[in-house]
Amino acid sequence: MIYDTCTKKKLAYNIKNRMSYTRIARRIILGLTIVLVIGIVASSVGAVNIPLTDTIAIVINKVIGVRVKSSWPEVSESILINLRFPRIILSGIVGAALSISGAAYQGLFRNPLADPYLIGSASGAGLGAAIVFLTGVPLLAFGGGLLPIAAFIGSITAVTLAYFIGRRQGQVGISTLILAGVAISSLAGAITSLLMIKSDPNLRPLMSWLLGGFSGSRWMDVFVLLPYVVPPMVVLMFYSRMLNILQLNDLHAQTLGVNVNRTKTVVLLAASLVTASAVAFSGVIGFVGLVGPHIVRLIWGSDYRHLVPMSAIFGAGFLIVADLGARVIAIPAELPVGIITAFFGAPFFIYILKTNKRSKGI
Amino acid sequence: MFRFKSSLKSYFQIIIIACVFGYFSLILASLACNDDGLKVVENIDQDPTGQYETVTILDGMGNEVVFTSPPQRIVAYDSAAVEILFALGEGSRIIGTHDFVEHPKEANNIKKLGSAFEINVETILSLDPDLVFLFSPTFLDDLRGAGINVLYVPNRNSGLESTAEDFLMWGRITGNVNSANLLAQDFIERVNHIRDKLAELDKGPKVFRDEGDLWTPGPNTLIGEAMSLLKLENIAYDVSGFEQLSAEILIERNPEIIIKTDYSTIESDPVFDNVIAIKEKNVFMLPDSPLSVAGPRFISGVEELARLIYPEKFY
Repeated sequence: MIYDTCTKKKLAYNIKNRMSYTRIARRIILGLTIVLVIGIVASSVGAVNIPLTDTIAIVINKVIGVRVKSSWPEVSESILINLRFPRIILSGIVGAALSISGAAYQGLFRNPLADPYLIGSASGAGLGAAIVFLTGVPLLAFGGGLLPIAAFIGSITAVTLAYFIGRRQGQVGISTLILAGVAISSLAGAITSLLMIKSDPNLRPLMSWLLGGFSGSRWMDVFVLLPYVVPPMVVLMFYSRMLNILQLNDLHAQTLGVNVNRTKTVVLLAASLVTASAVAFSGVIGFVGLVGPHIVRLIWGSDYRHLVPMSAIFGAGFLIVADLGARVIAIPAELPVGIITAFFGAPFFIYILKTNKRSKGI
Repeated sequence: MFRFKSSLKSYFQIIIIACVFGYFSLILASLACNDDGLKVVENIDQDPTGQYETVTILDGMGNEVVFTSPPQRIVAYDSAAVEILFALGEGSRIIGTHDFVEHPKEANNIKKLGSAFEINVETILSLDPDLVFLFSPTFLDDLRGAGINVLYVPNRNSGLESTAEDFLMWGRITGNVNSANLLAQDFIERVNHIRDKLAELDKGPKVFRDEGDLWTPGPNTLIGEAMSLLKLENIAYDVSGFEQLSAEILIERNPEIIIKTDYSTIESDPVFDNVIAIKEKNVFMLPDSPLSVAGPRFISGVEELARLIYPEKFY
């Protein structure tokens, strides 16, 4: 049993008495199954009515090539394959990405209020997108992918700046990092606002991008996003044990043989890369990254070895459902998904917070 | 009738929707008389002697604004008002406007006093105007409190009915009733010409307007009104104001013609390859501007749209 020497309290995390990895694996498999079911059900709901039986028949036909139903409308297949599937998959990936980086940032900064946008990634991405929209660069440059590229560059630049400002004599100071991030966020946000006020093009696409959403998601986005998001997510999973140790103060962690500085840098970069890629393709979607990990923590406890993967799974399911709301609430129009995540996420979070007995553990 | 410059629409969509309800009865009334052609309610042949008579205008708050002499130094904080004044030959009276006014070219020399929704009251005071025209009441009290003569008329949702009336209103205010009558008559004749040409047409093609990322106008917008004048079937018939249409709905309703702005990338998206308009290359470009300002150019925009869609009827 380890005790924190400062508070003399028993630490929530007990290194010797490890939670068995099979239990974690079982939870992960169960979670993934639930997300899959949510995904299939969500794909049968939308502005255009496609019965669940047709949806399942089309999925089976596409995946294993067996026709279990003689026919379905061609429009249904086109809508399912070209619009809903990539959109649902992308929202799942982005939800997982935001939620996992939220868990990583909260562990890294030992701060329950940390979220994926804390150190400037969202406002950096926003600035990148605004520059593309407002300088009149043809949006179709780079095969239509200019916007995500610009957002990605903006995001990574902001985080890198914050990182180098926050680093003192080789040490990554947590509070300097957050302060640097806040300053850079404000600066990037101010430049974005200035650009928007001083130019007069059609701002509507930029506004809907800034509010976040998946209305333009296609297979291409899924394929481009995956290689950026999956490797750093795997890194974060491997570093989840280190995140447990980072909950001790730096000195204690060091005594346990952890290279604290390197761990912090790796986690920070991996989480920021995940965030930047997700933001580049979905715009700024709030709430999932901040509250997703907390909900997981409240339900299953705060051991990062399962908090990290379960946050990803929860985030995926949550954002798929939220995007379903964005698609159907205002038929025939679309809503920005960020509105839905906050609108339904906040009451859900408050409910969990009030009813769960682990609430004290946050 | 500020120039519906799209960006701000998303900010102010709620306001617009609220206005829409307010004007609903007005729209219904205008639709009702659409069938018999436009009628000018004002007495169009009113005295052309050149003597300025006292003009009383009922503003958007229901207050009377009285003019005993034509205003010489006007701050016109509205795209349509600027265009109308220039069309009447009274553009030289304008001493200030907002940043988004682009037409006509001469308007570029007018002092710009801020974006359409912000007003620098001090700058306006320093210009010493004898009339400030506003489309939004936000700064009404500030300016009136500073002793400035303010005329506030909310932006219109009907470009056909009220535009001609607005010409006449500005004609009376500036004492240039003759030009206003001519302008209004020209406007009405051109509207009626389009209506006559299409009288025998039962139903036009199914149309989708893309202003970028599938943002599209519903029937209760200026463009929506132009579409119904041209008997086009707007596939976004159930959209209120401007909204982002679901891509699924676009595919299902399958428009025969797409009219896009230069912010639209709809053709490059393979998802829409099977939409009739794209398959048959019936995608036309029509910029936002003439159809989003309820001024004299509005009818030119409608005519341009007519030429694009019915090239055999309009040329």
